[in-house]
Amino acid sequence: MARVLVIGYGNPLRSDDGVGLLAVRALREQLAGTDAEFVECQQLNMELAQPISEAEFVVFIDASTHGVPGEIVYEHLKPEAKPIASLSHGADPAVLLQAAHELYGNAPEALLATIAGECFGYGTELTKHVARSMKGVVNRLTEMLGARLACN
Amino acid sequence: MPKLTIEPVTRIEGHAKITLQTNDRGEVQDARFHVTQVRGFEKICDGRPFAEMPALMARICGICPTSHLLASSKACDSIMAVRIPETGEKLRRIMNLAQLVQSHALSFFHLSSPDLLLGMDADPATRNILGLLQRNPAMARDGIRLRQFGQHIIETLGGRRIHPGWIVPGGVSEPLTVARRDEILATIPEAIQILHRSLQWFKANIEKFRTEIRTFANFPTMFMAMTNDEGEFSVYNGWIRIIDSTGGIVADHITGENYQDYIGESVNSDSYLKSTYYKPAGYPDGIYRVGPLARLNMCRTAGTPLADEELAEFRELERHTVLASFYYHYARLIEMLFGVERMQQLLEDPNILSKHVRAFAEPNNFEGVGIVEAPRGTLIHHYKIDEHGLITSANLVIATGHNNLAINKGVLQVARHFVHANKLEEGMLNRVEAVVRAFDPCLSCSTHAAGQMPLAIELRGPDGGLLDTLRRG
Repeated sequence: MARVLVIGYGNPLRSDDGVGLLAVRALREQLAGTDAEFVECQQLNMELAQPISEAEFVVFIDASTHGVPGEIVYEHLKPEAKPIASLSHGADPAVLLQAAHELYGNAPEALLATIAGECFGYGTELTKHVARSMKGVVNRLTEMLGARLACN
Repeated sequence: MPKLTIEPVTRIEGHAKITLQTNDRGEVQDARFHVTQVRGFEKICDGRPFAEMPALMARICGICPTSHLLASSKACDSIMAVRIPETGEKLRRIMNLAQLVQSHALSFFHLSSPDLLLGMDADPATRNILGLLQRNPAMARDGIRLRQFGQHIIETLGGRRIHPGWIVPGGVSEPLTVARRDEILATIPEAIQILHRSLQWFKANIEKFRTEIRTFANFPTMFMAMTNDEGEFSVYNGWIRIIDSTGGIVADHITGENYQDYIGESVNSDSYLKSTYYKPAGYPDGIYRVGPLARLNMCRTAGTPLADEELAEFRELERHTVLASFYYHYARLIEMLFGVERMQQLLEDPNILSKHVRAFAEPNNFEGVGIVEAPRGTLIHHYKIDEHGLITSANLVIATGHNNLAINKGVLQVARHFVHANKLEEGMLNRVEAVVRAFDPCLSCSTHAAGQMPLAIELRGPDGGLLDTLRRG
């Protein structure tokens, strides 16, 4: 399993909701050839607990319905045991870390990057603010993960 | 008359609510299961080229897209009047079985096992998948692994886990490679071990649920499922048979050509889900059930050795057909075992690597029907086209619609047994939901609508005033 796991999730047919997927695609290009693995999915589910447990560092990227459009929030995550929806898009990454710990004995260091969306209606394009913020997130994560992957 | 409402119903695929009508003594008099979402795929299809249907129809559902892909492709096969190459058909069957396994694993382990393991009266804060992994991490790992197993096969064959486009009118788009075949075969022993463990666990715990077995939609109905000449468990090829509650054949050799002579659809004013019924008996007397319980009641043999051993034991539960809907859970485990074994048989056939996997043709009929057994039951896609190959009519008969009458009757049975409106308790309401979960209804046919959603039950007096409320989430 790769040392770094990047998970982008959302619905690519719901405009800004797809920003996590698009960010992962950009990061895959930026970090090609490194020991990083990338997952695109429409929702978080329990099956991700296993690959999460096998990574040293996990990054989740999602759209947020809160905040000023384009606002970026980085949050270091800790495992958390709280009621979850097993299928819902709203499944909490912290709960997946908890599941990784409970089931497979390891909850890696993890970061959640969210970008506040403006439009969640039908569409495949990001709005202007969100597209700009996505580039910022990709640049910052490329730098951060690149440095981490360069270390032994 | 006082009314109780359970909204939304949790841990099912989609959005629904339940209303319980009580009398002045607090006893349940009537119950209704309402599906509160509309999808409209039958209308979306109008005017689209028929060849687009499989890809479009797969979008109906994020849990069982493969079933819709298959039924739709079979309807298009019928429009084209093509004969699918033997290997193409076998590959379709493998993907259908992988779909069966991953969907049943989701239903059993993720959605229903919290009730089975933690108990119907457990605190709803822990009665979920997280509670399951804390109480029994080995079982949670098994559930995750089994779902991965099915999804991995779908992804290996179709290129993606959700909405694969590999199944096409005329067959499949690409043949199977040796490497992919071997990759799938290598995972089969572990899946069989998991299912063996799970069946042992379920059978060892059945006694704890005697009351639920007796009251969860346990009544005589007809059953409907696909079968074939050998009377085998069949989810891809064959015809439809309907049996009565003692196993006697009511109707046989129902196909795409005559299904409308036997199956009627009733529109209900309080739900977006149609109720399907056996036409000669009329509505609502023509109640029947589909899905795992119906399939096991229907088949003479599973057709694989381990599943046949389990089927023999299953048959000992009751004298004739198994009527208790609680046993849908048990039937799912046996079906998964069959699915894994059958996939192994199909993959070990040397012909599975043939490059001839697709037939091509223009439309040769103005109408086509595709029927498969989806995880939840019989799925029918029926299309009509014009001279340009554009859809003029699409009729979809979905498994949950077949079960709608039985779900409603089951909710009433459970509510009458457990719910007393003068003293509402969480466990009562969970049992009302749990009978719905036993059928594993797929209401949303989309990816964003399941889980531990807030639940509110309101007790209203004859004047509509709020008497009591119970909330979850």
